Amino acid sequence: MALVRGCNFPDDLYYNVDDNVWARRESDGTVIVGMTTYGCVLSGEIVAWTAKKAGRSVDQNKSTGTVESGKWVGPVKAPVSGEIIAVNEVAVAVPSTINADPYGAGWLVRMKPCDWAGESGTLLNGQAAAEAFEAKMQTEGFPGCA
Amino acid sequence: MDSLKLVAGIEPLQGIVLDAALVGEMQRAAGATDVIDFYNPSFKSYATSEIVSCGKSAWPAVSITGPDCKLQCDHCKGKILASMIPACTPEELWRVANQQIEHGARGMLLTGGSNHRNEVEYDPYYATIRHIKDAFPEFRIAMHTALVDRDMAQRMEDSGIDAAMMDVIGAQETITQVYHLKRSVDDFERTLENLVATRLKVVPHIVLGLHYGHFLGERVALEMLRRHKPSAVVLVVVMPFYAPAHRPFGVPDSLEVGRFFLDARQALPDIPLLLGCARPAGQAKAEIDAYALMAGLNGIAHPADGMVELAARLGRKARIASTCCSMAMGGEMVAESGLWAKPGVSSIPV
Repeated sequence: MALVRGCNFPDDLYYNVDDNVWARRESDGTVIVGMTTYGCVLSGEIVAWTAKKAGRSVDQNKSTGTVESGKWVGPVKAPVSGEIIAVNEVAVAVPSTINADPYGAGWLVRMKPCDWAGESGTLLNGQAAAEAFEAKMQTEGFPGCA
Repeated sequence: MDSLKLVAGIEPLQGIVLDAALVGEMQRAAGATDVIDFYNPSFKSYATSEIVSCGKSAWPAVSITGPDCKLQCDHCKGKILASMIPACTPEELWRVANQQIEHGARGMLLTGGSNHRNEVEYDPYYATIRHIKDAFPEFRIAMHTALVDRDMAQRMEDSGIDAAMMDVIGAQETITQVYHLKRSVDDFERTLENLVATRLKVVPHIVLGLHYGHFLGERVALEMLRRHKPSAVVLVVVMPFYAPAHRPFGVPDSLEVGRFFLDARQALPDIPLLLGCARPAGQAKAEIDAYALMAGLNGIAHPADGMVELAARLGRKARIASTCCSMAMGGEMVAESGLWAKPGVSSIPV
């Protein structure tokens, strides 16, 4: 696991660094999507997760739903194109779960990707992701995850 | 065309539940303005599929007490202040204002935590506020006043602020139980009277569902506003998520909120009526915003995704501004912003 300014970035995930989202490919070919610890710290305590309904198709970098905190409202962008096949109802019911466990119980949607092989190449993982997050934090003046 | 069918055709609004009878009533009562102003103040970073986040510093919120508030009201517990920029001395306020102006701020919301009498202690800051307004006359300041007597209202006017905002509460039970305050409904009305007696633009707020998520004093508050005729009125809806677990707030019923919008519109036909940025999140927000639009409110801050398209489909011209909606008197800030709207276009860069 990479640790960048106190924020952890698990090695087995693929990241859209600009939008602070991660994707994890499951053994059945589906993809779990969530927010990074960095995104959660920037947002502050999340008070609502309003996802698009299961069955909706979403293009890469388009919204899978809206996250809202006291100081931020914005979309969670799909790391790859695909159909939303499940929404994490725990995160809907208790949005602070997203802050508490962004890579586990705080996942957001499960997708059936259209073209994982083609589109996942735009995502970063491992050391490349860590370096890109460090550069992003530097640009944004981010002090670090507490 | 039936408004419900219009809503059903807008992707971000699919699944919201609106009451057909109330929507029908709103349609029959239409006659409202053909323009809707959407506000995107930057104290909350905000983006939807229709409105892209604007500059971070266009309209910041500044607290002269940081997160500290003696009242610790049950719906807030000081958490609303916690995300604001602290400026806890006059010198810090001057520095913050200069920094924000340097970063492109056009104005700011100035507030702070209350003392035990629901007063924000601005006295040490008035000279600095005056200095800011003299040095940067185009920089707008909207101040949350809390309760004031005549002298305090006068000092606010003399400081040069542009707009005065206060929450009007119409139920003693809410004042006592939610605010933990030994003040009366009359104190709130006197504050309104004292502010309206100045030359300030006065923009009172009514917090709908303030009594633990239920309506109680809202219609009394509306009557107060009818009596004193402020420059504009902002309706907000209590946000339930900051309340502690032992004193929980429910999400106010969207239908009841919508009904109040229509009643307020009819009670205050000549006063700009706006939906402020505080309200529940998620589906409730989309329902509340749709009712606000259909009831003929003049503006909505941080509109839910789909509102720009709904406005266009309802034939209302949308304008977007990066200011606080409390600056919306006469729409001058919207016009000054030089922003644009194009009905039918659903992706609007700001």
